[in-house]
Amino acid sequence: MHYAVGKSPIFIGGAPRSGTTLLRAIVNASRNIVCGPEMRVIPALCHLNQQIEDGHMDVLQANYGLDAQALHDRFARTIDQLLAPLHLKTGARVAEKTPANILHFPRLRRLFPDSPLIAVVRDGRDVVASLLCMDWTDARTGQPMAITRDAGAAAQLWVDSVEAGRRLAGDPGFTELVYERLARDPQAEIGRLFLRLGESEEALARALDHVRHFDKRAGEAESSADRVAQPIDTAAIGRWQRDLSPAQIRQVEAIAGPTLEAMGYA
Amino acid sequence: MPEALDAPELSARDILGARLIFAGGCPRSGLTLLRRMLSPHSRIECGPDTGLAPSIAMQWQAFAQQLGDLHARDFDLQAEDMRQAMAALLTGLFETPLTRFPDHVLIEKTALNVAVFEHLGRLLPEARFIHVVRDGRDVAASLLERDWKDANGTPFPHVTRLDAALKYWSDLVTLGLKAERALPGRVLRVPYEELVRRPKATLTAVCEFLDLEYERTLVHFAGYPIELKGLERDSLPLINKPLTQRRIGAGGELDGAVAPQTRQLLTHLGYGAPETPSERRKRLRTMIRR
Repeated sequence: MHYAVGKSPIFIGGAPRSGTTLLRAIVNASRNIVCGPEMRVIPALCHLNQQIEDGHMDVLQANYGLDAQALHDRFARTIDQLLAPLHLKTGARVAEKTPANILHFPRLRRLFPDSPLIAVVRDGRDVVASLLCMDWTDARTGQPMAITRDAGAAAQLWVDSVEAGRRLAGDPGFTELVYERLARDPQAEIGRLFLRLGESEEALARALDHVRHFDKRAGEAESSADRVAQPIDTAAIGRWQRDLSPAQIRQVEAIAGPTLEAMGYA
Repeated sequence: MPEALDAPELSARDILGARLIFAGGCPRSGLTLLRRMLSPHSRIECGPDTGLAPSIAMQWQAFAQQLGDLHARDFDLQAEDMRQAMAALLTGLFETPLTRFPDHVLIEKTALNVAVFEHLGRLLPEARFIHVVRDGRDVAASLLERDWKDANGTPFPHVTRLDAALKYWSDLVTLGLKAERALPGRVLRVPYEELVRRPKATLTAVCEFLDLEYERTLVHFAGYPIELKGLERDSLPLINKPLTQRRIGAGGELDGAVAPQTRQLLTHLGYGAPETPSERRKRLRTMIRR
């Protein structure tokens, strides 16, 4: 059980605009855990791992002596290797926060049997309202991303993200953090998380003082850096009621209604 | 972390690709025949297509180009760190044959390797490459006999339209030639026609390129059956039969559809005007008499 990053790495995910950057700032402030801004390699490597397993496993096993477990071990080692410089630089436990990680949590569990997997969940309607304010472009096409222009596409991504996390509901290493609870009572929500991660009271106290430690210069690609640099508040809860049009609300509820209900948002 | 991660690792040179040879070329150019002929060699491992190299090489390129600056700034992860990690991933997937046969070379044969030879050459600085080429008109004729479809069940344009088939050949061969220039001394071009006309001389050249001795069993490959996997099965009707030159010139009648750029490429590779039907009959009669 040797990781270049020490303990099993922690993976954080959630629909974009759910509060994952806030959580990154909080865990970083603990100083026991280091979490860089979005590395964006884990989803791609998980996808590649799945493609190989689905498409080539029979040949790899029969002709190259590589079974599925060995395949997963190789990918785990690669991810560990990519995270290692951060650990070497800080000596801290490593967490990786890329929102799309959540879409691959079931695969990450196969690659890293002992890793904590943390999902951040927020009211899907607020997520959609926030996404529609973003000016993100697709790196490959240069075009605006559909999730920033189309409420339906944004709602579908939220559903896919939440449902991917829920598939791990019975997993002892899986933790679901609720943005609204985090904003209203950070001590309780982060306290619950740190207890599960085995982190100390001192680390928790530092984490809750995240504004003092947050480095806005790191992670230029993160849209929430300015906001996260401020004390936690509840101003963004329920923003959908003023920001979404009635037609957009109907569109979101048509797609996300059952999931919103299951998560207690409707 | 599972036990396997603590298992003996590949040597530093193996992680650089020292015993890895990637064979590629436009599909239907003779790659499966080459595998068939090299498989009997006592120091060559050459399995069916894995598709691993193009996927991993392209992912490495995407990481390097799109995320390199971010990784260096925020993760202390330099370009060389990323190269090493992705190189170790690719070579690590071949760990079993590489460690089981420490004096063998491993030939990974996937047609579309040709599209990433150049990337692979940078990812694995000691890897070598075999670029199998064949007359583009013959390749197009063979492609048009395929029923290859995409994930939605739609036939690919290069197996349904002659112009698309010729362009497909031209695009892939152009990438292969570009890699030959970019990786001097590391890419061996093997023409299909030479493989079937002069198998011993051609296989001797391949063995020399691999730093191996030629073995007589190579031209007697029929006694060493191999199992074909995936798209290789398209070659099943021919692969277990004696070598034939009958397929040379099979696409000659398509010559009228060759675009000027493709013509230039054919000429560059030594594929001139196609034989007339009578020339072809005469050549084949000569072969049969031999």
